[in-house]
Amino acid sequence: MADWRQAPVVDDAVTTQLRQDLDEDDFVLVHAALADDIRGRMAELAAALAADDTETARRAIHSLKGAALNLGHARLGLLCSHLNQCALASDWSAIRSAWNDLRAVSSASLAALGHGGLAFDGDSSIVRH
Amino acid sequence: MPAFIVPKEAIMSEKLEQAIAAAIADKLVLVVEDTSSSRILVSGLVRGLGAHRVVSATDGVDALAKTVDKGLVPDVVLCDWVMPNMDGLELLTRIKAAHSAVKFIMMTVKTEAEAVIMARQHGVDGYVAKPFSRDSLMASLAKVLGVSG
Repeated sequence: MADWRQAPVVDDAVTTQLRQDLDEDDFVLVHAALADDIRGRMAELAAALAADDTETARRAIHSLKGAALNLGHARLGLLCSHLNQCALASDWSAIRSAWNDLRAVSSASLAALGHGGLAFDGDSSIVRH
Repeated sequence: MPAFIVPKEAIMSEKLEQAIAAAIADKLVLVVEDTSSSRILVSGLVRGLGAHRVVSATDGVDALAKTVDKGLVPDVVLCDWVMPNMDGLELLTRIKAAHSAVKFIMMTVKTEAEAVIMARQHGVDGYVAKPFSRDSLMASLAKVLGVSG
């Protein structure tokens, strides 16, 4: 599996292809929706980890991975791929340890989308280490 | 990757694209994805390929509520596997049990052989690996619609 640290935040080739494949309205809509998906899934994951709800946490990581990779957000997608493997192996301590990386990479994707940071940026304590 | 899965790098011809547009124009296409970006992306691509009747849903429960429960039987279903409430495999099973002619394409990051075999045992007609491309989506639609270019 490729190292997420080496991946670009956004793969420009995917963005260029999407511009060709989608009409302008859908192109704008799909990127706005990705920002909502990132915020929503990160909040869901934080709450699930705090509650030891592994099923919801696993699904949130999986959803974030698919959404990010579909739109060429390679760094976030690859980090989620790694976390997905951890989730499948029930290695929740590794996922909790990677929380700050995930938050930083999610914020980088949001910035690339022209959006601000995560709504719960100041409250990472909800994820128990 | 199992051979049943359409690769992202599938190569399409203009003639095939026209054939798909003609075949899909009057079909009811159901897109089921729990993330809104993926739902908008797949719906937008399918409309761009010529589908005029596209319904989208957030999970299996929503999909049934918007179609089968209202007497609307989709011709083609494009569905994620991992979703809350009712996942893609259960939706596949329920739709195929009642309407075996519905063409069901699973779109998922689950590309291991065991997952593909399980989906095929439940009657899946096509399988697209995520991240997908417009061409891999077209290739799978061409296959399930029985068109060639």
